Amino acid sequence: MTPSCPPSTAEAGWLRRRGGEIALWLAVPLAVALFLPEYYLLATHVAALGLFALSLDLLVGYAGLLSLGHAMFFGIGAYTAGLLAVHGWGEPISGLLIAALVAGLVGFITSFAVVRVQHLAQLMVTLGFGLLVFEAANRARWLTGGDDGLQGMVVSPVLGLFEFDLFGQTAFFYTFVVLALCFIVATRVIDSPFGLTLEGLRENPKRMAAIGTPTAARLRQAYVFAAVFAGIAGALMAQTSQFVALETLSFGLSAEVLIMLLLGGAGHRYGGLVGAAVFVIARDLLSDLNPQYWQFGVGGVMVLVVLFAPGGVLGILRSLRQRLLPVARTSTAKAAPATPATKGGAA
Amino acid sequence: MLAILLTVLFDGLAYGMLLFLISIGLSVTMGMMGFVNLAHGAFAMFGGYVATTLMQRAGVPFLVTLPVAFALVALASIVVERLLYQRLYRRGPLDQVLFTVGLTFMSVAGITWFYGPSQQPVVLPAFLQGQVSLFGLEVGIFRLFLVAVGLLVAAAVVLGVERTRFGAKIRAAVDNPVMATGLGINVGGVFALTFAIGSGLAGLGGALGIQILGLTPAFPLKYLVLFLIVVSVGGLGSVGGALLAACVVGVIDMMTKYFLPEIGSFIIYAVMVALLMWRPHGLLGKKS
Amino acid sequence: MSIALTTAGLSKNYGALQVTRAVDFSLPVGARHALIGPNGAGKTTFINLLTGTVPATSGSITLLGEDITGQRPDQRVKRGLARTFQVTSLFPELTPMQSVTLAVCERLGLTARWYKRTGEHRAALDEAAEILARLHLGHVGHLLTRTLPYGQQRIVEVAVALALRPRVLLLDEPAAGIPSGESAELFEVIAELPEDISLLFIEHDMHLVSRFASRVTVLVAGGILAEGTPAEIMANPEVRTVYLGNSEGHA
Repeated sequence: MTPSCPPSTAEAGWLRRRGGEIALWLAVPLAVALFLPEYYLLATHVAALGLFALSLDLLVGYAGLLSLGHAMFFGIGAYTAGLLAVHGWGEPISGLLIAALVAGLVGFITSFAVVRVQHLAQLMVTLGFGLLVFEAANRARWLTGGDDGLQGMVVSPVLGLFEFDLFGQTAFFYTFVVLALCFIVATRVIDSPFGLTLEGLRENPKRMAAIGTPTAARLRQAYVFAAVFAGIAGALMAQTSQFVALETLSFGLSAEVLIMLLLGGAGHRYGGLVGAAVFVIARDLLSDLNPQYWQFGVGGVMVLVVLFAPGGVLGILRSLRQRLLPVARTSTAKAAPATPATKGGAA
Repeated sequence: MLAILLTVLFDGLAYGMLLFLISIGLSVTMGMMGFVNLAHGAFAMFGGYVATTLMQRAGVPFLVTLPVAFALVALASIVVERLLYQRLYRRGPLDQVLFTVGLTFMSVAGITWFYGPSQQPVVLPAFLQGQVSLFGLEVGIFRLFLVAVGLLVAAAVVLGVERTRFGAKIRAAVDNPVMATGLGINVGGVFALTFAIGSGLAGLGGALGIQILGLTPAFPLKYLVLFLIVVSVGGLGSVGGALLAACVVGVIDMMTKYFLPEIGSFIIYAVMVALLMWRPHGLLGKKS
Repeated sequence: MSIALTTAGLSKNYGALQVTRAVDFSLPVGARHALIGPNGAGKTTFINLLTGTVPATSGSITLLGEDITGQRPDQRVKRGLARTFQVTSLFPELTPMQSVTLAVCERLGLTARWYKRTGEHRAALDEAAEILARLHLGHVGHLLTRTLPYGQQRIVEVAVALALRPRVLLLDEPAAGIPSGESAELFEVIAELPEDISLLFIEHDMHLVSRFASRVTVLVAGGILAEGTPAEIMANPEVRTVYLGNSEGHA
């Protein structure tokens, strides 16, 4: 899924390696602010859900662990941040960190059960935990507001300077900066020996055990990472909309985030972000549509993507590039160090 | 109090039989091909809509709609399997999950388009209505009928799998598809037919369940979790396991709805997670 | 002569079926030991018991003086026991360089580290590149493993195992699926392994066995039938009846 191997890119300069990406990350918020300020709210949703999809990609796309209950962590993050803000702790950044901590803790505890089983049982355990937490939040009306959602959040200005405004400008930049920071961390994780280990687990867990990897421990670690990022994403959603809907914990959201990943392309750092953008923007554009058409369309797109474009949007782009520029393919292959001599030479 | 308990227990069993009828095909085909088919509930729903359509538009009697629902759904499922599913047997579970959820979305939307979102009515024949006294216990005749059908189908499936030549092929294909192919068994063909029978049974369950499970376009999504619980807790490919799990799930679900409505589905999910922790391959599943 | 690996009364039953029968086996340090036997003799099961992929029913396994019978596979690897698989078991979507780097990182205890890029672990990368070069894989190190010819994939199997710096290396039919002309090439690679690695390999081809093994154990129906030098084994009448009829099919 990621043919460019981390070791082979090791020698490229930091700026050369990431320059284009950094430019992109600066250009996008600038473009939104200059040309599409009326879409701050939508862009905020894309960023928060993109982070959520990225967190799931660590599990599904990299570690090969399919979860049907990932909304649990998004919702736990959202409710943690929400409850803090309702009960007088309106400072957003510490709220975000506490939400991450809580989601990570729940992830750590449940990870033992999730990793204990495989295949269908694993799907069912992730699904089961998600449903349990949903039911618990639904019943605990006194705490969560049940299906009316959590209301009455008061969120303080970010860093004490930037008040959350009606246009959603602060909300957007706040979410975007947090997304960027999380993306940097996630990139690190993916490029690290731990990230390589996750890909090994996706490709062949049996062989991973045979090279001495404590596979369960590594999967648990990935699960906790995914939980933390999802918790942050949920907290961002809560703080920026100053409301937490019960749906943030639902199976429906767990399924939606999987769809985003499918649309963008699982196992790619940008897959979740692209998928979230496509999904959220499409839903916004088609919001006037009869909901049956929307549901039928989403289902049809899922079927078609799985059948004909399993790599999602990024997969299509990659194969287009390879078809149009066969030269680029061979030149990247050549750029990779072939012998230890070239590896040792550059530093 | 005891009478209420026994009545609820019996209703739970009848409910469990429906879950069994619908889930058994999923269990066997999933055990055979490892294909995660989350669209299975849609086949049950189609069975239900076949039955109501026949009853309402053509005045076909309820009992006659049942075999028609079985046959039509079985036929339709062969087309879906040969045309679509078999392309995905070699794919990962993520693709299979998303593909079948996509199909489910399409069928839910399609059914809503044609029938609207509301509950479909069913008129049971007079001889299936009312109560009957059974060992001093007042039970609904229809529920008694459901239990009987469920047990009959279970017995037929067990006999079919254990005693017939085709059943031996199914068992070989579930045990080890590669070796079965080596023995000259046409695993693809066996699978297609098994898939059709399993889907047909789901269609039958959907038709029988209109009254108890309700029939709206949301059916496949609403009950998907219960079907999957039956399959996973029972153990993939195990007929007895599916029957046992379906009864357990049916009774627990009915009991909690009746006695502990506040906690709702909480208990059933907790029981599922606990059972899977205890026996990851299901109650009667074989260790792979 | 010190002993690298021993088993005492090692048995495995599946219900009433005995697939490994009270095997007493020992592998001296630096051995080049072949395990032969007809199909279904339990050779792979024996390897699986040694690595812990399959739990033993009874008996014990001692690795370098330590009882490892109850340990998980990954714990045994950490104590110096590595293996390859009969059916190629690699990482199709990773490159050989990534696969070997992964094994090196595991040995160095780096696979839980997430805050430093793999590219910054210079020592691990250099070592992986060195292993690939030694096994003549340097020029394909950057290609996806699934795109490599089968023969090269078999060598990647060995490369991944070597990256663990095993004291004892178990090779389950390393040349399986390679045309017989090329399998000698693979064994040349294996023959060049450092002498302090104790080697146990399953192989059907008696020519290869007599060329590369100094001792041979014959496994039949889960138990040891005979053990000796290749010449002794070839001359053993019992072995001839059980085994040689079968080997023609594989030659």
